[in-house]
Amino acid sequence: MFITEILNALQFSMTLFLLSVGLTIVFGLMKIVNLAHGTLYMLGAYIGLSIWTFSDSFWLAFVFAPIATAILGALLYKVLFKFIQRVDPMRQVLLTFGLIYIGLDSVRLIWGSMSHSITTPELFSNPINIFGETYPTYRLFVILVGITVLLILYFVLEKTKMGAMVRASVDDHETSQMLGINTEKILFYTFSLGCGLAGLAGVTVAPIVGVEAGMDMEVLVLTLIVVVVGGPGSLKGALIGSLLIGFVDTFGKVFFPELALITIYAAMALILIFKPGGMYSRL
Amino acid sequence: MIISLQNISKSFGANNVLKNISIAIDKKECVGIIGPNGAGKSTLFKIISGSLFQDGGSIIFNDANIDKLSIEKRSRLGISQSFQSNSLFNEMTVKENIMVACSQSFKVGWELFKSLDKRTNIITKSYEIAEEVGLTEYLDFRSDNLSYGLQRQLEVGLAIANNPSLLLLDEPTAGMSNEETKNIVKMVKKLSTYYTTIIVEHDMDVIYSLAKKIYVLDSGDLIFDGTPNEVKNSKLVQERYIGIKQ
Repeated sequence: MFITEILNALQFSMTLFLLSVGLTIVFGLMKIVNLAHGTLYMLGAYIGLSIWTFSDSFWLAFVFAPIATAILGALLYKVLFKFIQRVDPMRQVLLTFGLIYIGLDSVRLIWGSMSHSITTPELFSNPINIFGETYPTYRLFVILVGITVLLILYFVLEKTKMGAMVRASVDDHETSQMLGINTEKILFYTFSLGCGLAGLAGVTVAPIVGVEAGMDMEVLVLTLIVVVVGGPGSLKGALIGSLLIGFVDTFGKVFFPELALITIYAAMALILIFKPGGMYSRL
Repeated sequence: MIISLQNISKSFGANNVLKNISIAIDKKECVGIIGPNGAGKSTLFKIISGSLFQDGGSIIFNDANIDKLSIEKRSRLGISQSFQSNSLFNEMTVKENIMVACSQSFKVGWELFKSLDKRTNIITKSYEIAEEVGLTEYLDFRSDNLSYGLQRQLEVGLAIANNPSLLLLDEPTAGMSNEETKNIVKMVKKLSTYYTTIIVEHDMDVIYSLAKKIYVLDSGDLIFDGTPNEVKNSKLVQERYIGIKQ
């Protein structure tokens, strides 16, 4: 029971990490809270559903759904987000909030209002025995996906020239421009990558949570809490924030089911009292 | 001539901050721009760097018109600057700051995915820059842990990291102690022998000791230009600027 809950918390944390990492870096670079980030998560799940339905292959969905949401993110950047950087935050909030509704209605129009599900790939159909407790192997796969993305992002951000340029742009946008760093290009690729990761999260958890209109709102609030708690703009913040919220949420539901939501907000309030900028804010 | 400002004008609403300013600067020249508060010095500085665009007039840099170029495009052409405000990557060490800055002048492509720590050309260049700005012993310090004076030195280090053709320094000694001022003046004096330099500065002693030619602005007008001695002896400047200070 205890091991199962730890693994569940870890799996949920990794899903939150995939979602929050794009959001937090984009916020660090563009100072935009993209409330429509959850919509890309939902679209990732739906696009994955369509690919899976037509091809009968989860793996094709797993590969192409994130690519599709990354392309969608690139288009959104070119036609919308590029023009709302560093403007009145209220305009950003209204625009991205509007996108949530556009996304929701588009999904209902294309896929209908019914809930759907994607079958777990055959490779992970049998549960695994961990210290006497059986656990679905697919959930372990979700954890593995999160850890793999974390390691790749860590390597790229911390160890490469490209990563140094992204970190520099998050740290000080104007100085980066002054040094000849093409911040516009960095914003474009980072935004698209963030949208791709949201799509990856969507298609990856679809076999666990199902696919339905409105699944975006459920994760959006938690993702925003992760960003606030971890500190905007920080990879480390996204990881620690995701682990914290993932574990508090999972164990809160187990031990205090009536107070499940309160535990998350209490954890957030406690952290913000001592660290108003979040645990690892880069801003 | 490396840069020529031709009839530059700029207004903010009804306030004419710059009125038909024309300045031409030769290669390897060290030029000072002075003037009382509100003279338009910082606006002119921002217009040269590309962080503001002029309303009228043109800027010719190395025989090319750069009026429409952004700050980063001007930077890639060789115009580099150090602002008054803190413009460092505070989350990074001194070494990383300089490495990011000088990595811009090296090859890109797939090299983007190669570690900066493994790029010997960037590392060598970074050590040279650190030595140039007197920060060799602080390479592993986070930049936000440096003293104010050392932070300004690092800012100058970032500005020279890409071998600029034109170095712009906005009040490099602002807010510094006497000792820190002495250090930075010594450093800028040395740098100005390699780089064409434009310095905007309040401190007259600093500007007299660094600039070979000084342009004096007052209320958006260019009221005088000449050598430090000519500026010191100009009655107009004394009356309009130095007189005000005294």
